[in-house]
Amino acid sequence: MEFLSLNILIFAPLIVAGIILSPLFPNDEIIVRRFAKGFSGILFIYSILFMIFFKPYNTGYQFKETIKLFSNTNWIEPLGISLSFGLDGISVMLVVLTTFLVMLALIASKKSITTKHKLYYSLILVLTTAILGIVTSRDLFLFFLFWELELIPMYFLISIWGTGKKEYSAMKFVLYTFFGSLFMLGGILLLNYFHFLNTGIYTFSIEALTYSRHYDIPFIVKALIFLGFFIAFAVKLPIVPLHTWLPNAHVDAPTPVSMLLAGILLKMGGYGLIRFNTQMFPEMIKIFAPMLIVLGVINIIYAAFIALAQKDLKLLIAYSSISHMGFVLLGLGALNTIGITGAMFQMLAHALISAGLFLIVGVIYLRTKTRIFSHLGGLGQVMPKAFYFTMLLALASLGLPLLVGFAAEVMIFYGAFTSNSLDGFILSNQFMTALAAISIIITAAYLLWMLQKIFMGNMFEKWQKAYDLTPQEAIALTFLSIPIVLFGLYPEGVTSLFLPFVDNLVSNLAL
Amino acid sequence: MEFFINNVWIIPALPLWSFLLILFGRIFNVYENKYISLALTAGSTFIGFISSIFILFYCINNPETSTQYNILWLDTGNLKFSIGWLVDNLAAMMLVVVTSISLLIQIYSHGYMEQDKGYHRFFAYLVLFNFSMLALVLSTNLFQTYIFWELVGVSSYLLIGFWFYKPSAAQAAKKAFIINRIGDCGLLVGTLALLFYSLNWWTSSQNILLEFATLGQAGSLALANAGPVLFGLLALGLLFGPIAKSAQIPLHTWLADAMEGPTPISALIHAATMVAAGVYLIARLYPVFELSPQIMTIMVWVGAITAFIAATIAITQTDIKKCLAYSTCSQLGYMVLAMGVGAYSAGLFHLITHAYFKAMLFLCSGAVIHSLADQQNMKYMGGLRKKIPIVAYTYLIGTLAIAGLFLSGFWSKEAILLSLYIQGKNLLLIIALITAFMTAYYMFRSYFMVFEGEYRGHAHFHKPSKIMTVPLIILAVPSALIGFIFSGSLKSIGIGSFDSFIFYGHALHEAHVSLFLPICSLIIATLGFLLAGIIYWDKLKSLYCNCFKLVEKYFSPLYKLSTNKWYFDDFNNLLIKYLILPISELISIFDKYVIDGFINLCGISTLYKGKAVSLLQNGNIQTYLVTALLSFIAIITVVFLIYII
Repeated sequence: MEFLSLNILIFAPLIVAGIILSPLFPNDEIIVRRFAKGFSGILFIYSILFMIFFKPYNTGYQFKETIKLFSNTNWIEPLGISLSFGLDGISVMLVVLTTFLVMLALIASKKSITTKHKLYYSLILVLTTAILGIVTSRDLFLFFLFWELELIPMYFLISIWGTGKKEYSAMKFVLYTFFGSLFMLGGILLLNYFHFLNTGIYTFSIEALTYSRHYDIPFIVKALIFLGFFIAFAVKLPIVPLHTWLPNAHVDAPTPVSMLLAGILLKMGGYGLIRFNTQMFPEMIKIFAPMLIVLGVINIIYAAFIALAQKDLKLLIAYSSISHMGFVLLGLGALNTIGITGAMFQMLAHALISAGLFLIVGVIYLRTKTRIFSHLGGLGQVMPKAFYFTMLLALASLGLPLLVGFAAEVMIFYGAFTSNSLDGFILSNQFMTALAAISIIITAAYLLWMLQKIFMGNMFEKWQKAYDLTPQEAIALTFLSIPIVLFGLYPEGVTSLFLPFVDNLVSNLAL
Repeated sequence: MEFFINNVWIIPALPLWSFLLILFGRIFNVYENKYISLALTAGSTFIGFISSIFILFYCINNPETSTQYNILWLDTGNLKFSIGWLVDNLAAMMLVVVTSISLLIQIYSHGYMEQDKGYHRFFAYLVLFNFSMLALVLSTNLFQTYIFWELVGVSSYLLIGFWFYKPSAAQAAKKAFIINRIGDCGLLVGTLALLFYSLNWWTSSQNILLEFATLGQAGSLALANAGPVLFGLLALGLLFGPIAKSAQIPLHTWLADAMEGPTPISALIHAATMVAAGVYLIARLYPVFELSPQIMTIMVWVGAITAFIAATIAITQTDIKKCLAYSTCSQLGYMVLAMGVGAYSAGLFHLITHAYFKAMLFLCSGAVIHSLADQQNMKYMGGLRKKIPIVAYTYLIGTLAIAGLFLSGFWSKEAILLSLYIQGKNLLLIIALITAFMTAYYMFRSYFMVFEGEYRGHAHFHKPSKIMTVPLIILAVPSALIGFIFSGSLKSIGIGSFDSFIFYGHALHEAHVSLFLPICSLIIATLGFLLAGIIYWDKLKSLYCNCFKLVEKYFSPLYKLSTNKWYFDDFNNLLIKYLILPISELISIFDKYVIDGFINLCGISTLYKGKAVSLLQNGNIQTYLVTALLSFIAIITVVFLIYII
């Protein structure tokens, strides 16, 4: 497997972005788009190979790689910072998901991006590098670097190609994430410093920091580090009350960027929570489990109720996103194999479903130039294909059995219900889970209401000329629907990738 | 015969296969011919029907058989959910009922939907429903039931909203799904709780998780673990599923609205099969419910109140489908009542007889509506017996059956009344008898309004095609005879009674034969028939002394209560309008102005602070370095102090 190099996977998009941006590259919309799409397709196939050759029963990092400098030293040797990458159970799924959604976002870009094509496609590819870097770095410092790098393309993508109050939204997104990252940076430095105090070695290696288990760090410091990481990821996930950037960013971002935002960027929060808060600090997560579950249930119910009151289609989907990400917290807070597996699976399910729903929002906005429910109606008569795809996505989102959302919800509900992570807390796991289960009614209510408002009922005369899906949109939605049905029927196809990792994680928790 | 038992998966698999064929056939425009969709749908059901018949005979000959086969669906951690098929007497019976009614209705649908633009879509949904329903019937465990429970719900949603461009249909479809979701939520939490409290049993015994075969032992363990109160809540959660699916009060309001769908759907899903799934699930979960006497009591009263209230609503409906819908609701109440008092066989017997005659009644109403150009109001019908005699006579058979006048409904209803009588539940018996009276009244009322007297409408009449009337004639046979055949009267020629075939615990042997109850209920049904005749039948109208107007005059509050459906819908709308929506609006406003407002406030104040801080940023490198150094020292000091502490 010599040809499978993570370095190539991560940095190829960056190089291609440079090629596209270079003045030598023809400034022709069609060529730029086809080149970017073609590259993203190759990247997706390449990442699939990683998944095929990945050995799930090996719980450590695989495909390890470290870039050495000329003198065969690490990147910043004195501080123990190295350019090292690797894949393990939770990152392999996210890598494939990232390349997959980037490909679909590029396919869906045709109609919604009308200016500055070179810049747009190269920014998307820079974003790809940043995300792939986040999920594959084996070095905390590198992780942080990619975490911050991701903000730059996002800021421009929203503020240049967005609509409405786009500068405000982009700035809000960046400031919010910065605010979170600041705490994380504090946490990283504290962790590094105390590791140095205990061992006399400077290192940012995630493996070294994870398996040293921090017995010698005082409790209060550990709690501070934990919370530092937690706040950064809470902003990203997002967790109520740190979620208000998300509706703004989604509403004002262009369709493909919304797809990536909901599909991948939110998952970085979940990834961080598992990788750092759970894997690195097993004893702290047990203490903070009640917080996770309470926040998770608040997320689920609170955002679902808000979604019920929305009059704007994109805001409804955005709040439903927040509500569904609450399930990740709930599953994680269960601290058992099935709960964490469910949380991982929910990340996948939500990525596929919400990317599809945001694409649908874009499809409707292109035709009608409105997202307000009271201006829409009866579109099912002129856009039957869009109607059926939306129905499939909405049903998957509300957890219809044999579609992908259901498997995730079942695992999370079961994990949370049978967990005892809240022992000693005033509320029991069973009560909290039952409370979260109410959301299946509210979710059904707002999603079916949305379907009814947009596609059913009387049609306004002015939408008579709305055209159905273009081939690009249909292809993107078909690509999304295939895994939605496939992994709904056969969830083990995905869970087997990270089940051994999660098992290992949970057995570490028990120590 | 062993072959059919071992390959029972074919029965649900063929409809699924047909669904995919129709779906992809349409996506890629492979064919246009309507007969291909029809052949795929009806063909798959026909094969299912034949195998079901063989399976039923096998089960009759080997009454103690219970075969199951499971496939592991989800294996994560200690969670191992399976999907499979279970064949026992109950499942075999349900298979025959579902496939036979489905087959006839699919053929009928061809006539009913031939002119519709969405013909293929209709058959795709129909066959999807068939798959889900058959897989639900064959479920081996509660988890699988939940899966297909939701899938039949979504098929029902798709079919109610089949004419999605009609706002009322869209509204009704959404309402049906959401109300069913309330039940599903209860069912889900109940299932999780049952699993949680009996987890040790499942893991130690290596059984299929939540399998029906050993639910009794697991249930008693759960009772021991959870205590009676929590166990009662658990069982109540489980009961919520059947309450919503079988349209029991207070979650019954969706069923009448569901009549917005095409009439064959009303017959198949909202009368004969899906709504009966609630009763079927109660039968499957009987070992759990039985452990909690309070839940059985709740079940009894839910059933009794539903039977009564729905019947009182049905007597004033003028829409023929609404009238039949409330009658379905009322009869389902009967079944739940029977299950609640422990009359397991009687409840299921009524389920089966009801499935046949109610499917037929709905198909008759469909034929009437179709021939009157979509007129559903009975006020604009009348005298149709002379024009469509076949429909009229089959409707009459159905009416006699449901009213409990000798035909099949008589036998099953009698079984329920008898068990109430034996157990000495006199209050319930009286409610049941009053309901029976009302049933006879409103059914004959509808018969007289539609088929007798003079035609009062203006719609152009056209005759229904043969493809619609032949299924009616075929359905009339079981509607008339099935009760008698399985009543036990034919023991001499080898056909045992229903309760010797399907029973809970051990077979009951009728010890109590009295003529009092049958005669009593026959008299009551006849009274209902006479009252309806006096008011609505021209030949008897001469006898009537304006009593209808008297009723309207002196009982107008009651009359209003009935026409307004006891204000359930109004109450629900008020609840949504003045409680749920305001709450969500309130939270939304809170989110927008308090949480986001706070964040924006921080942003603005930072902007001003930024102006102050920018004084420091004068471009002087030394100042920067000093500031950086000071900050670094400050941070290190703080960290160090914390470390020392």
